Amino acid sequence: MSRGSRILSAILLLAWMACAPKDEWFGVTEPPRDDTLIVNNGTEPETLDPALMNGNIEGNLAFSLFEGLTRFDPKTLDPLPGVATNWHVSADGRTWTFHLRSDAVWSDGSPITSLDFAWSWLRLLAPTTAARYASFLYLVENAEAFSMGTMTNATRVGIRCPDSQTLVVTLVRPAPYFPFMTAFYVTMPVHRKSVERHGQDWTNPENLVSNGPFVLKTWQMHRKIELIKNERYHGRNEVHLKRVIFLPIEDTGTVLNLYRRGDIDMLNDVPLELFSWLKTRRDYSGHPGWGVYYYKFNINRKPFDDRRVRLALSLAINRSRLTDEFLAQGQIPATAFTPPIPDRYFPPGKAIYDPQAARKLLADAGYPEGRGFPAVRLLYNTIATDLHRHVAEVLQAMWKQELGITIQLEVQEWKTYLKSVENREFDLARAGWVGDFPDPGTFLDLFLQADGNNNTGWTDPEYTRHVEAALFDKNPATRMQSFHKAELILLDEMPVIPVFYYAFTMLKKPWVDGVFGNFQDIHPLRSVRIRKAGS
Amino acid sequence: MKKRILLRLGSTFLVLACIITASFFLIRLAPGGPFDAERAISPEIRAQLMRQYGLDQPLHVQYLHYIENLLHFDLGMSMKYPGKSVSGILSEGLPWSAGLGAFALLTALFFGISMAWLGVQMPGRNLDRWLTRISLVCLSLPGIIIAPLSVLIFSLWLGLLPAGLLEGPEHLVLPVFALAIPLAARIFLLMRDSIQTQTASTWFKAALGRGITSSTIFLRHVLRHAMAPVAAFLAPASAALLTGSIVIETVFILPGIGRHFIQAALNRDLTLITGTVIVYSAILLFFNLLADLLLMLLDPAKTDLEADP
Repeated sequence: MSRGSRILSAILLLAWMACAPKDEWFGVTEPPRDDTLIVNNGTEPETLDPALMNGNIEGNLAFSLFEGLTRFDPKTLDPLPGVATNWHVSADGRTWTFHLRSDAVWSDGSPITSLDFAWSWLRLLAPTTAARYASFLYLVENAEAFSMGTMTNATRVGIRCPDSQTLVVTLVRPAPYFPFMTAFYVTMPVHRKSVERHGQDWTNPENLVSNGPFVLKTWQMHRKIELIKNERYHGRNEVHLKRVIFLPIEDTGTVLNLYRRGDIDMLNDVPLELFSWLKTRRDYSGHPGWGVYYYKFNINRKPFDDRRVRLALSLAINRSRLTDEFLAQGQIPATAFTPPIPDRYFPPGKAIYDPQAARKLLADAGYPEGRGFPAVRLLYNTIATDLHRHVAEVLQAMWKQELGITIQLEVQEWKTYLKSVENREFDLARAGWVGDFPDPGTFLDLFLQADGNNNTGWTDPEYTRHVEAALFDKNPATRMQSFHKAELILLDEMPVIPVFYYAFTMLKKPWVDGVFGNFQDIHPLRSVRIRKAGS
Repeated sequence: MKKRILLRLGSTFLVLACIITASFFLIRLAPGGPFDAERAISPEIRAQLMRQYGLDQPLHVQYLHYIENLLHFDLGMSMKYPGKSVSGILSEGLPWSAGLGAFALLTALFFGISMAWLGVQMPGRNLDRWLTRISLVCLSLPGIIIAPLSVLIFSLWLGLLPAGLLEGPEHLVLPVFALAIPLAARIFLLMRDSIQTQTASTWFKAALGRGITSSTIFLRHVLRHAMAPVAAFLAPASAALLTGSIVIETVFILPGIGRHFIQAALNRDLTLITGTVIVYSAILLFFNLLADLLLMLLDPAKTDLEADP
């Protein structure tokens, strides 16, 4: 939807709000009469095939339709028993054994065995599947070679089934977070017979056989997806919802209208323009996300080939002013690239605000008070919420004020921007990274190679040594120390400027129980309950 | 006349062929591709995806292949929604878009023509003046304003109608009116002028003089002649409905095909955008053709005169 229309929607809503009584809750508070939950999922999912999924929009459906070896705790996202009742790891930290429950069945009544997982994982890796997230399982022995097509013998991939209730997975290196990965949507099992019988149509409502707390009833593109309770699910006694409807609404104004009228029970991503008003309502909750908003330098271009210039730009940013005064949506100033993981990892706080040091570094680099600083451009992409423009303008003003340098802003449409970044046709570019599982490795391995998702052109042998040491270390304490050392190098070299850590926002009606904010914005619906009218 | 119709048909197909060719190549010239994402995929997987969709072939081979499939009514597989065919996606959404457009057109015609008739019955009076003023305001209001405004008034303030989604006939009322209002205003103004011209003519006065009742003259003669500008307006009206439906479908969350027109291009879903362009162009060309044919029927002499100067 166009920006003009969004602004108009916002103005109209504000006009409505001006006349609205100051409720504690936003809009309708009369609970529904049945056990149906209606959520807005943000847009139309690309697919319902877990192996082909690559984002949370699809993931939200997968978490309801399918269940992996483990599943996420709705509050902490810690792995809980899913299809596997228990699991253990070998002394070297590389071999994981999962014991599957005997009462787990597919929605057609057939039993789920370890062979289903082995087949599904090999399907994810198979080159013919062309799964965008196949690399998720490269941690498994020989999986990468198999996926690349350089090794065709599937039996050499580190997945074994000693019996129908046991799955043994051998990894290339220790990964204490592996049970998190087995709860993630790409590792969910798919029903082999359905896939083989129906081909690409296996996810159609009439064909889809799944194993999660819900089954697919209807899928009307760009209208709604309707799930109903899976009466064959092993944990059916804990499933309270009878029906879940996922709506694909993109326009935030429309979503709010429907939410206000009680047509939607919960939504993520509270619109920016109404944020300060909505956050005073009881419907609102916000929580820190496990992602970083950052700017990347092209270190092959002047003046960003000079580390002092990169550091100066970072030190000149007053991050807390940006997050508290200009954005004020719960974002947290980023003092490092990796967000902190409570009880596990606290990154070094080196990305701080020190304008004096910034000016000195810039002068040392040959640009005293910004004199002679070349014309450089900051590239960002268009986005419905205008967040990127907003951040870019604030930072542009801060650099002008603190360092006396003028940075031009350049906006590109999403795919054009992606191409420019991939081809390194930028000086400084906006970026974002969200971790898949709570381990610093999912952030810090970005800079192990100059290509892929790095795009800055920066690599460092010492940095690589520390990250690889951490990745292959099974001792949690020394592992985190190695990550810490690597991150210190990263912040000292500053090929990227961490700006803030994302915050997730949510509006939820008073009758929705069992949905919690968490660092990945994943909301399993298995135990969600509707407090009905009269109850 | 037959020859003229055949020529007109031929030129329509030629235009459609040009549009297909242009859209096929233009979208491929745009930077970025369907498989680009913030989290870059590995070169091997990208190569596999390119192979799957035939994008590893030279452009002219892709084009010939596309045309060959098109002749079998196969628009290819969507690159954004794996496993979904473009024709499947479009045929799922087209009935909603077409229904919305048809309802809006009928509503606009009904209100536009009846208001014009009412206005002309009382020329120079307050009613006509006010209808003209209101029409001018409605004409300058795009759907992008009418849609949220109607939601605010009828849905949020008065609570009479749903704010969106498609769960019953009442959900179509606001979208249809939001789409029809500017169109009704235009039809009203066109008809009003046209009827005034007809009723001011000597044949009308002569007919009245012969004692024929004004409603008979109106229905049998005036309306037919006055319809010519409205028929000519059918083509731009269908264009307005199609483009208008993009906004309306977004605001009211209707599962039509309007969204693909923008989203598929932004996603670089090469097959879906080309398919959408073909469907939209075919609809537009059809209405242009229909308008021309209607004009020929309503006023054959005039059309012949214009065609053979």
